[in-house]
Amino acid sequence: MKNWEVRLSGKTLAAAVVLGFGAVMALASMAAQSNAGLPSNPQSLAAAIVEERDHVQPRELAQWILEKRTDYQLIDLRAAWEFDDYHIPTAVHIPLDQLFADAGLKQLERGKKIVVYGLGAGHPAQASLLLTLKGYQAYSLKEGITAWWDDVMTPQSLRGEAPDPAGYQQLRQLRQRFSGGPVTPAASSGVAPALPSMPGAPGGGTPKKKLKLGRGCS
Amino acid sequence: MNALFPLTLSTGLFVVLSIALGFLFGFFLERAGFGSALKLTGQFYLNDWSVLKVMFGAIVVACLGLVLLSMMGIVDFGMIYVPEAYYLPMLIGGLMVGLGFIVGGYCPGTGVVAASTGKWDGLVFLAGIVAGIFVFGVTEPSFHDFFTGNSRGPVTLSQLTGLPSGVLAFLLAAMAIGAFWLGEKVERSMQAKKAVQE
Repeated sequence: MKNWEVRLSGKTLAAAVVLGFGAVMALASMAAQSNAGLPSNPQSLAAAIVEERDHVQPRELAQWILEKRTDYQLIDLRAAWEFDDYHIPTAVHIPLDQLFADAGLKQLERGKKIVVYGLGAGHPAQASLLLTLKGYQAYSLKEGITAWWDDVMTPQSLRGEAPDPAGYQQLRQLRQRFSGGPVTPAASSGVAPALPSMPGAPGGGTPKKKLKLGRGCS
Repeated sequence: MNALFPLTLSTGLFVVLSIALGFLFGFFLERAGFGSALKLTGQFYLNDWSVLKVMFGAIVVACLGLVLLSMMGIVDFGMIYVPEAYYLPMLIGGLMVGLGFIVGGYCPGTGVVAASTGKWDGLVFLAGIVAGIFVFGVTEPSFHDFFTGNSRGPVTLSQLTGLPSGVLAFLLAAMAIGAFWLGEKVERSMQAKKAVQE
């Protein structure tokens, strides 16, 4: 019987170790990606929905945006005019009827959390369910952009509930970042903000459809 | 996320850490022999592939390490900063860096390494960098639109290819080992050619 003597030089051994380690990493990350997100069998998915694991809270999303996270994709399912009027920062516009067309699917990444939102809860919930069944890590913003507006953008003074001291500072910081300016009267320039032009006024253009969001005068 | 990294440090601690990391970077560059312009330009003339081995090797180690640490939950991958990609400006900038590398014999990091070990050409190279930065600053308004326009956003290879990051890390490692093996073959043939000429 021949004696097979295999002598690995230092370099070959190092290369083999690195490739072996890389192969293990590759397999592990493929497994992690296929296990990420919600289960797609009805019973487990129903349990996840009851536990609200298919939702992302508006404050949580606000935190992700502030941290400039790159592991999520925010999809706005509404119509184009609604998106142009106001959309959550970092959102990408894909209307629901194009979400599963080639153009829509191409924009989705399997490795990221896909967070869909609409005006309310209905369409996003259906969209996130369809995406989960297709193997994406899909979540919906709890109660849509309405909840975002109420929970993140509305100042404390207009809310019904009593201010919670711990949450108040966080709220103020979020408002400041997303409204793009200081929120205290003392910090403003003292010049009254320009009034929006009335539709139909002379020289005004065709009235833009406006969203009815939030409370108070808008 | 309960990940340990990225760290949130106070400014003072951040500066101390930056200095420590910079020191290590310079130390290892000098130890690899990259304070010598001859060794560095040898990569361009294809008779010394150390630059490829060190740089590509470091990239592969960092890549595999990041994937491992991210899977272990020590690094929060979603918070790693990804700069925006500007394809054409980066292509042109890269060509200019390459040109400067060959003509000057150093790249910015190795130029500092050479200067710190007292080499005059390293010091002159650094002076050149400062002058170049000044010229850039003065002329930038005239190409501002080109410089800042057409951002593709923060793009990752994982995003472009749809492959999970572990798979990409493995492919990168395989590519690196292939490149190292090829480099050594070319090194040997260049040496043989030189021996014949002498």
